[in-house]
Amino acid sequence: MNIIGIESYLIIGLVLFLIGLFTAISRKNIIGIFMGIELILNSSALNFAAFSRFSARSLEGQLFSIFIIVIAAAEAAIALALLLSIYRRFGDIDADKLDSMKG
Amino acid sequence: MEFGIKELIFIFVAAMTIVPCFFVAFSRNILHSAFALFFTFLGASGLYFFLDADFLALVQLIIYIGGVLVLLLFAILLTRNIDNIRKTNAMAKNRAIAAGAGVAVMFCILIYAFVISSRPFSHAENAAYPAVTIKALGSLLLTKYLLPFEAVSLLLLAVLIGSLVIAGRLEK
Amino acid sequence: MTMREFIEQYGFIIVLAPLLGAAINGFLGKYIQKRSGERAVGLIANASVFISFCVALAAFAAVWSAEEDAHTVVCYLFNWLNVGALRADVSLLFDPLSAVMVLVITGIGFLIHIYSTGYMKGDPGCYRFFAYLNLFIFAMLILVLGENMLLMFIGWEGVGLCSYLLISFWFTKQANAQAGNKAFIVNRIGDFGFILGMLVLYSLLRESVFTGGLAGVEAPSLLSFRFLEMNIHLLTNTELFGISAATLVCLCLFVGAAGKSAQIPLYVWLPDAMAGPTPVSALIHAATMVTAGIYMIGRLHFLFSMSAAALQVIAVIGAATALFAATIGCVQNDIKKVLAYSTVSQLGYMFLGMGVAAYSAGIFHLMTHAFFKACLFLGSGSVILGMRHEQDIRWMGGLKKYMPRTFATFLIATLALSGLPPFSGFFSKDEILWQAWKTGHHGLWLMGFISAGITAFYMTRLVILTFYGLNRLHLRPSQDLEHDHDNHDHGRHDVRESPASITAPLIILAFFSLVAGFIGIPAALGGGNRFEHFLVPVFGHHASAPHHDPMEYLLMFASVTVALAGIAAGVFFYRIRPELPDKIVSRIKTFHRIVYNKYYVDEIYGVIFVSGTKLLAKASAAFDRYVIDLLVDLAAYVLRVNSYLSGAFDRIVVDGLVNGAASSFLFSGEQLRRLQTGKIQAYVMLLLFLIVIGVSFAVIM
Repeated sequence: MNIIGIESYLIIGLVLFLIGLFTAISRKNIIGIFMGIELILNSSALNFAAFSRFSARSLEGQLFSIFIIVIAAAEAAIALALLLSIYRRFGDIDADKLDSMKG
Repeated sequence: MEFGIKELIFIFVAAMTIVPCFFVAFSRNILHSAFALFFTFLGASGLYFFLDADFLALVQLIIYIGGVLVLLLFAILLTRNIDNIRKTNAMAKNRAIAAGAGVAVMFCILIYAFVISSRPFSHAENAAYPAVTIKALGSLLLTKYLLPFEAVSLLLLAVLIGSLVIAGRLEK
Repeated sequence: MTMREFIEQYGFIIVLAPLLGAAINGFLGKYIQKRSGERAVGLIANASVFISFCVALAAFAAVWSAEEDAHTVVCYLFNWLNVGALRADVSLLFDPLSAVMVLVITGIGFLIHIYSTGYMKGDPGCYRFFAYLNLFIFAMLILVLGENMLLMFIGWEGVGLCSYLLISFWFTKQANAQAGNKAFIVNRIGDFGFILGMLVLYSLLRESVFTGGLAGVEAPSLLSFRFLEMNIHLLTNTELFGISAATLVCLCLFVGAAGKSAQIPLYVWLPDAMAGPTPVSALIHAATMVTAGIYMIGRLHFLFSMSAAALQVIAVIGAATALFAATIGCVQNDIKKVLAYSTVSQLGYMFLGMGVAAYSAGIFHLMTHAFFKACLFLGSGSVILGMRHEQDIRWMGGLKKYMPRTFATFLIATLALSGLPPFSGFFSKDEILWQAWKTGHHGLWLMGFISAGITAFYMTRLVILTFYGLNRLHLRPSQDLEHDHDNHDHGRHDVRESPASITAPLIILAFFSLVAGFIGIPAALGGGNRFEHFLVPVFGHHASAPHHDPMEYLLMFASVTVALAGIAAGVFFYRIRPELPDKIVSRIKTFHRIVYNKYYVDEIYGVIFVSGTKLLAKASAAFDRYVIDLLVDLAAYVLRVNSYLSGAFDRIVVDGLVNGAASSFLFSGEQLRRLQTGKIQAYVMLLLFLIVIGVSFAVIM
């Protein structure tokens, strides 16, 4: 088995995804949560590129990756704008303190 | 199993991708997290090179490192006092549950991958893959994927304006 | 633009000008009077009526010069009602009849307005007076010019209102206010008859129009006079309650006419109405409003002609009123009361004329009467003013030399009323009497004939007591001194002639009293009776024999004789042997008392109607207390028991269910809301948890 095979990429993607998930759940800081989400997005983009290289015969996987990256960038811009807005209003960006929607 | 210089570099790149992730997850200093993220993104870009997706690798570098990460740093600097930056990335109380959830999800994915999925992986690299992908990607974007392309353009425009509106709103 | 087109387009100015005057004086008059004095107020009122008069002249000219078959000019304004089958337009109808009426109303109205500026001088309520007066002119014109019965009714009610307002103009005095109330209430009885007649007519006509054809006509204005005249024949064979529909409608309408025109049995309000200022008595209660009933019959003559019975009733009541009121007039001492009964009597003549289907004669008498009776009333006003508001003729006398102009005009009008040729009253009254005789109503003729004599007698009495002999003011009991007119505090002064603003209208009216008859000289005297010819388009050709009946000359001679006899008797009793009347009175004391107290009609009405009403009210109150209240209490008790039971059911069963449902929701909500932590990471974990469950489920399956 070649070390540069699809399994390696999938394992790397899985690890990125799980760590991203853990970060997104466990961080207090919204910026930290945001970093976790970026990791998750990266892992999926990596998986798309890997499947495109190994199993599909076309470049469409890469295209999906590009779209994911673009949307991630858009999401980053919006998320950070929201973050600034939240910070101005509440004076804090701890996710567990932002519970005015508590029922 | 061959083990040449190429494999060595691959392992290095993979390590550069994965190891900083743990810093991202566990560092108490959010600036450290951000810098660790830089290495992760860089590693991911390297992995794209290994996948012969050179354009994707460049996009990863430009957008993630040049855009998202810089934006993140700005956000950190704008929202936090630089003084207590060390304690800014505290863990939430539920990290144990979070870890459990992560493990559970991992098992789910693995089970799904190995038990449910009937399609075997093709281990061989696709031989018909073009060496330089930019041209092919470009023509795909402007033919078959024109509509998503335009939609994404529109999305970016909306984001541009929307983030200005949200972030630029003055406190009453 | 021809006169006709002018009237078609701008005829509404006739009614608009007085309305505008009334609005200005009504809303701003107080301010204007304070700012510019009562002259300004009077000027506004006079100007508005004068404009109206000028346009009325144009309208008359338009009707006069119209071609043979186009004597009707209509000034359409707008569609008023369009409800189901009922359509009514606001439009003004000018034909010879209404043109004559409009001229009388605006002409005499204008003169009386001028007179009022003199008469009401110094009254703080001057603006109010002129506003009412203008409003009256407006309403009266609507009554006369209205193209359908609904519009006529608006005017009918409007003049009633203004009459009420003006009778009780000096409302601070109890008697005046009560007189106004009386006039209004008695008129209401008559108006009820009018409404009833109108409704019956409308419903019958609608039925026959929609069952009997006329399909092509789209929503006709059923109550418009032109439609009525063309389609009244549809009612020929209709019967209602056993009598013909036409009779029923006519009788109902006549009740209205009797109320407005003060006929038996609804005349009682008119003498009391003399409580109002004298110009009001002249304008409303002699010249215009009280003739509305006659005008209405004339306007609907085609309807009345269909019912011989109704005409008979009208004629009999008219003649009876003429005689009855004349006798009362002989013994009254208040100068205005005498004239009031005289008016009632003359209105009776007009109804007699209408009742014998001599419509143009009735309208002719209406017009001449308007002139001389307005002149008499205004003259009496002048006298009252000169006598510092003394109205009792027993304390007058000898005014001839103090008030020569008033005397001369009063005398002319008296002679006209007495029916001496060549004064106008002779022609019109004689025409009525002749028509009564000719149509075979000899009994009615006799009543009218006697009334003519009595009329001459009491008018002579009035003139002699007022103007001849010596002044008896000093004989007046002193307690009466200022009791009658608290709002006119003049100092004592000598009796002197009234100012020009008062005498000028008198002279003009006297002139017309003298000459107005010449337009209706009967054919028998070599005249063409132009008046009747003018009204031919309205009333149609009278079936008069072309050859001259010798009887006509005889009757004419008889009535002149009886008038002269009346005058002679008056002169004899009050000038030559002034002590005789008292002697006669003491001889027939009971009879005199009955007549002096107006045959106790007011008292009889008081007993029958007022006490009757009170009795009815008491009975109703008892019924209400003992029967209705019992039922109501019973119903209330049943309701209370019922509501107690349903209250218990509601409390225990319904509330139990509702509260149970509510508390179950509350409980589950309390539990579920714990999930809603508001923390985003909790949501993410929930999501993951569900994904894990879903995947496990998929694996197991």
